[in-house]
Amino acid sequence: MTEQLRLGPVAAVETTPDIGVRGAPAFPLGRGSGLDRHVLLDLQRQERAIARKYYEIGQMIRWKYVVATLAGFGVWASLFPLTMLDVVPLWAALVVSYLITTAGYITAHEAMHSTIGRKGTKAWFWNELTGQLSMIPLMFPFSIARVTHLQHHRFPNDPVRDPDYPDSAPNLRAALWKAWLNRQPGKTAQAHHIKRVLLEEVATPEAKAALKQTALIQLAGTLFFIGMALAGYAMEVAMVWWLPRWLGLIHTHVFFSWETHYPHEGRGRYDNTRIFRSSVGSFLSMWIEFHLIHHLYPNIPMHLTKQAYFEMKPVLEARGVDCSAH
Amino acid sequence: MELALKKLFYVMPFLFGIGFIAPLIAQTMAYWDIAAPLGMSRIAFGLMIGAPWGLYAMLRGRWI
Repeated sequence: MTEQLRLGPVAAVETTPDIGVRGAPAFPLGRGSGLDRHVLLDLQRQERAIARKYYEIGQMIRWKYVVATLAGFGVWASLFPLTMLDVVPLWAALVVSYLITTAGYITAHEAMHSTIGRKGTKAWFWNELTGQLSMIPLMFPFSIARVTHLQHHRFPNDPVRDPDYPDSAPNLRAALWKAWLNRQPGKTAQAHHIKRVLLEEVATPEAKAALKQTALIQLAGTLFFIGMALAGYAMEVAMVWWLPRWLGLIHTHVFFSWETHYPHEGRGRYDNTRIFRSSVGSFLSMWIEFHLIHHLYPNIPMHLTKQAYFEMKPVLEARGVDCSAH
Repeated sequence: MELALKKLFYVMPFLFGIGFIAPLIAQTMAYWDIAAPLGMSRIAFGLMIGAPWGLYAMLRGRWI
C-alpha cells in the first residue's frame, strides 16, 4: 500500500486479500513531490487541522510566556544587587543569567510572531512587553529581532535575503567559530549583512528605525559596562551580563539558527529546516528540534511543536519529509 | 549624528579595553589577592593589557 493512501482519507482505505486496495488510484503514487495534487491537498488539510488545534491550545496558555518573562527578567535584574552585596556567588549568577538570557530568546521569539497578542488587541501590550524585556539580556532591541526574524521566515537559507545566512557553516566546530567571528567589531561582523538586508531588501521605515535603535541600545549597554567597571563592579557586571550575553549569543546563533537550518540549502516549504536531534539535547535547545513545525506554522508556540510534530508526523512522512530523528 | 556614532563605534573597542577590560583585570586580581608585577598598581597592569588589546581589536576588527 502506498504511504499516501495509508494516510490520505485515513479511515476510508480498506484492503482485501484478492483485489488489493479499495479506492486506490489507477497507478501507484510515489512519496513526496510525486504525489497527486488531490492527495497533497488532503495532506495539507490534515496538517492545518493539527496546526489549528495546537494554535488554539497555545492561545489558552499564552500567559505563561508573559509570566516566565516577568519572572526571568526580575531574577536577572536582581542578580546585579545580589552579586554586589555578595548574597549570590558570581559563578551561580553566571549560570542563572546564561539560562535566562538564552531562554529569553524563546519568549521574545513568541512575541516576534505575535502569538501572545495581535496588534489591535488588548494582549498586544503584553506581547510587546514580553518581547522588549526578553531581549534586554542579549542587548538587542526587540524591534531588530522581530524584523530580522520575520525576514528570515520569508527567505530561509537565501544567501542574499536571509539575515541569518551568515550562521551557515559545514560543521559544529566551524559554526562555533563563525558565531564568534560574526560578533567581532570589524569586517566579519554579521551586523554588516543585517544592515544591508534591512536597508536594501526589507527597506521599511520599521527596519530603518530598528537599525537606529540597535545602535543606541548597544552604545548604552557598552557605556553601562564601562560605568559599572569604573565604579568598582567590573566582575559583577561581567558575570551577570557581559559573559552570559556572549554565551547566550553564541548559543542562540549556533543551536537555534545554525543547527536548525543545517545544511542551509533547502528553500522549499518542507526542506528549509528539519527535524533533528540537537547537539546540546532537548532542554538546552529549548525543544527547537522540531523546527520544521515552527516554519510550517509559526503561530504554534515553540514548546508545543514537539506534540504537534508527533501528531503531524504521519502526514509529513507521506510528503517525504525525513522524520527519522524523532 | 550618524557620522559621530560611526566614529564612536570605530573607537569603541579601544574605549572598552581601557574602560572595561582594564578595571576587570584589576578587580579580578584584587579578588584573588594577586599582586601586579614590577611593583605596579593593579589598574596600571590592567591598562597595560586592556589598552593595547582594545587598540588591536579596533585596528584589526577582531579581539583574537
